[in-house]
Amino acid sequence: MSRGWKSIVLHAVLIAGGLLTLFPLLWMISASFMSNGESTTFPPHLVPHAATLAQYKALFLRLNLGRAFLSSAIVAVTVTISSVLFGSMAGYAFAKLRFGGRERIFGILLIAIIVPPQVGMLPLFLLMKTLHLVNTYWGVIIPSMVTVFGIFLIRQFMLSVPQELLEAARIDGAGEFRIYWSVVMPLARPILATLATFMFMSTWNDFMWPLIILSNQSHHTLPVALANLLGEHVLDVELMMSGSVVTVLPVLILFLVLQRYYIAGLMVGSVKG
Amino acid sequence: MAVSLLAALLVNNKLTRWKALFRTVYFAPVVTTLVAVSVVFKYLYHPRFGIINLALGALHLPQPDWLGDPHFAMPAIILLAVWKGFGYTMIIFIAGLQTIPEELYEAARLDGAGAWGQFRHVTLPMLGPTFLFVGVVVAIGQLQIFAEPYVMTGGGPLNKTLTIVMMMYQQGFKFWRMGYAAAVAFILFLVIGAATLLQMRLGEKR
Repeated sequence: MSRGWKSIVLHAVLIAGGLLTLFPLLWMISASFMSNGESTTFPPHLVPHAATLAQYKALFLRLNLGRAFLSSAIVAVTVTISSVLFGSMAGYAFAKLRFGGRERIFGILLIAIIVPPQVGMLPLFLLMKTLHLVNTYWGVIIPSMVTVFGIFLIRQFMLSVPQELLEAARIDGAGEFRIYWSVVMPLARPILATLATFMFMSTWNDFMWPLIILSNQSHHTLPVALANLLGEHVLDVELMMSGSVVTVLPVLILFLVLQRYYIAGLMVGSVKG
Repeated sequence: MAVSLLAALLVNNKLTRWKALFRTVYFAPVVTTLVAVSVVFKYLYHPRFGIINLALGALHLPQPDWLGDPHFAMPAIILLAVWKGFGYTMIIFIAGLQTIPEELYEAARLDGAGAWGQFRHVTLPMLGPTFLFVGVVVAIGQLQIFAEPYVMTGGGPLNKTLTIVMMMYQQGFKFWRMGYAAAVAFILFLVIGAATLLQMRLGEKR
């Protein structure tokens, strides 16, 4: 086979694989613009005959999905901001400040990674109940406000910041907080962006914990609301598809815009240990 | 794993153009919301109107009741997990492939190895550690499956898709049998803890 042919075959396979991969998402978007019952006709329609926004109207006007969208946004934004803020503080301290037991404390934190999050959910739930945080946004937010992953990520980066830079700032009379805020933080921008992207997406997509802690509909985040909706509207395929679009689209767009930060985070995650 | 390795090899091929585009496309399912795509797949798997069975019917193949048949429910969920996860594994494989020095391939070519020979004797051995790492990570991830059965099957039919986390959730938060659920959680912890330690060991060796 000549090089040209090889290249054509290769790209044909790649494009076919790409279409196959995107198919469920494309079908989701397409079906969300169909009118009731259109997606289950025979022979099947892949593209709506007359695109309509009826499903989206029903979602937001009748079924109050806007409320869930808002809940998701509130939770995801708060978690993102706080985990970046506290993660960077802790990461900086673990990398650059000297204090007794630093390595030991960090080691204990790393051990916590071994515990799968689902295992902690039972005691966490009981704890939240005692604190009267069941059914509140705080109940979702607090457990993720700072993560070991975030601290680890930032610490690895901070280790590469030259000590001389900090010394220079110290000689110029900057306090510890000033150094952290005006010298280190601007340097750390790329890694902060990585952590922020990561936290936002994982919080937005999280399902199990919000499902457990938020029993009241008024606080449901999008994934929980969507799963509930499925219980009542399992036959309204088109409606469910538009609900899925509303849930998936924000993270998908965010990923397309910020993918280099996201993938950088994955790489760090894959070499840790 | 096989799917993602294939994807990594193709995307990383020297002849491939628009590498970034293909990487993004293949990676997109990873960032999607699990619940939402589970809903989408539930409809794709529909025995009569689902696109998958319509396609199978057009090819005159049998059309199983994917989520309702005890033999097909778990494979259906696995298929979704593969679709959702292979992009992530692909990225790790690509990173692994890029660490293989070009000289090794040249040496193999000089020794008369064809494309398959190069793959068999250079690529695979060099990817050894990556394989182990990916295997453990994927295993840990799959042990924690929850949203897919919750949305698509509710653990049925005949409890065939009742994953360990699903079981913990049902016992603990539906039947309020906290003790039983805690026992399930503890077993999950032992299994995953062991797997994670193994992974960390592997990480140190590299």
